Amino acid sequence: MSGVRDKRVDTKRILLVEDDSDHAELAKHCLHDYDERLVVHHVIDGVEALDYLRNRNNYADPEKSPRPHLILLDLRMHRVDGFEVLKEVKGTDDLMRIPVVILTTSESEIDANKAYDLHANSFLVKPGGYHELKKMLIEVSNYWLAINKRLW
Amino acid sequence: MTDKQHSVILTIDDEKNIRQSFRLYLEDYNYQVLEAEHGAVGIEMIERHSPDLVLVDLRMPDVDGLDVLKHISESTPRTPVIVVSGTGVIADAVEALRRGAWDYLLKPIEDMNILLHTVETTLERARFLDEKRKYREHLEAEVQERTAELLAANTRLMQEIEQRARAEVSVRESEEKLRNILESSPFGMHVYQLDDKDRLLFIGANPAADWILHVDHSKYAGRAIEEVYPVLFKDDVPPQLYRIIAMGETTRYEQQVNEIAGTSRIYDIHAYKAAEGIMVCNVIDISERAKAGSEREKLISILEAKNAELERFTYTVSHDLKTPLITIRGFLELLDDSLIQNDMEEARKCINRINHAASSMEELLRNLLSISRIDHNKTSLTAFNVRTLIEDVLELFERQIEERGIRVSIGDELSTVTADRNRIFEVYQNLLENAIYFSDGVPGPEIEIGLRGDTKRQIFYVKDNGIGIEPAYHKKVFHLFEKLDKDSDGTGIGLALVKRIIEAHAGTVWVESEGDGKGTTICFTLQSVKEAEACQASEINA
Repeated sequence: MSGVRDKRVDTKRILLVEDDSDHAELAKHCLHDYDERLVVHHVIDGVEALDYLRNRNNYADPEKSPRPHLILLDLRMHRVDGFEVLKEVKGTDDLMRIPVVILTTSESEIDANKAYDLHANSFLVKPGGYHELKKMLIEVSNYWLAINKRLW
Repeated sequence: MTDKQHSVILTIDDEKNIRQSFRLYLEDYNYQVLEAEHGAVGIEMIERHSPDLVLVDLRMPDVDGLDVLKHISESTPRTPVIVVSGTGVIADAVEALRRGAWDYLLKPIEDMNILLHTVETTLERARFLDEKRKYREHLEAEVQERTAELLAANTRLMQEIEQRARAEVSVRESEEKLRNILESSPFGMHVYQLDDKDRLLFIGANPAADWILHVDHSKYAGRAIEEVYPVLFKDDVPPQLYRIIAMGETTRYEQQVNEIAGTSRIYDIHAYKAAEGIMVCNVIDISERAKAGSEREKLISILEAKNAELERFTYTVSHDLKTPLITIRGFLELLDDSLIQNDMEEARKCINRINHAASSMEELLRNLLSISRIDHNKTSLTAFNVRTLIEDVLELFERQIEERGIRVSIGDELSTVTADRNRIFEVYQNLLENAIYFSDGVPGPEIEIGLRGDTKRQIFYVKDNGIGIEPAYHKKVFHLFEKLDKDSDGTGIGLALVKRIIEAHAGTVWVESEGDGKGTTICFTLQSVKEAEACQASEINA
């Protein structure tokens, strides 16, 4: 998949895994404010996230569901939760290099440790206000999408 | 015969030629012969020389033969005396024999051989008598010695018997002490002995063993262990019991024994070697302790489950309360921005989102309150008609049922139950809310509310033909805050609340569904009326 580097070469893609539609809306808002060219794919739980990443079911077409440059992952979700997605991504050869940033309401140390043990690249706690969230998401996107060398 | 040579013979006679003829003749036969010419000298010589034989003439002047004989029989009665008398006085000889003479010779002695023969015979007889006397004396000494020994032995024996008797008394006393200890012990004790065929024979048991095990052990004495307990050892006597006796091992285990009444008791059995070839089993009835232990375990597991739920609760509450808060604050700032930009459409959207988040927070708080009340308030039981209650609940959903065209049926078998009415109302409210929600979009939605099972176990159920629940999630749905449907407006508390209410009524609740699109039936049981009343009564008493 790392060979897929074509006309979308300059398109930066984020996979947003978030089960709360309001929170997803806020995050998308922030990211669009930052860079309108940024493509945010929103999926609503772990099942859909893994379907997207593996191009299965509703996301079977790799053209429509291309490999993201960054995953923003909520932890508490129904059906398959964030930890399971993280474990799956970091345990699969052709997915493990995708940076995964945990974005959660949980301030629990247990959750943070567990996430890092499963090789999360970052652990962010959702702040209270929109501007703070925006600042956080801009910084994290900038770090992973601009400062770091992109591999695909 | 050697002592014949040394035998000393005294001849007392007043006739010198007779003395000489005796001497000359007897000296030829190696006798030593002393002579005395009359009785007095004779007596003197007897005393001085202690002759082995005395030949004495009867008729002598002054001291005659009878006087000598008298002296001899008084002083040395063992000295043989032969009287020599004249032919005319044979009566004297007879008298002499009567007085102790051993033999007699008649004068004149025509054949000296007669003299020799008489002397030899008399000496022989004297020697024989002497030996016999010595033998008898020896025998007496022996007898005396043996008697003394016997007496000593007897004394020792008597002492021993006395000691033994004392020892026996003290053994009996200590045995009695031991028996008292054994018999008053509250621990059951069994004693077994290994016989020469390597079987464990039951010897006896103390009274505690009888009443602990409800067995009259006395009738089993001498029987093999497998005959005493045919049920326990029906296959084989476990080898560790033999190892106890062989190697002095101890073993301790718990044994459950089923009683005829269907109950069972648990015994703590401790078997050990008490002496060579002897095994003792201590038996304690620990049924009560085990029961208390298992009740404690049960309580602990209930507490653990409650604690785990509490942890999940605080974790989730913090998350679920934070989620709408983040939404509200986020959209408030966005609202602020849009007002600055005079973007009224954006502002309206923000306000809607804020509103929505605020009401979901309210709903969450309301449910939290309701679930916490279940533990805090004791259930108050009343008898009421469930059918009427369900009709009341359905009124709440009248509009939705009508709009969605849901066909609702209530089973006729639903009648009176004894329970906490308000709680059961909440149960049906939650179950019907779910059933209506998950029937949405299904062609020909139907909800069936009924009762099945028998009088022993009545199962209340609410059945829909909606989207169904995958079997993997059947347990999870009752967890607090567990929402399987991400689009659901629910708080994830509804079924957890139902579960708590049902469990507070000592019932159980479960899901029956074959999965996607197959519809869902939620079933529950309630404590029977009798049980409920008993429970209520005990609470009142408490």
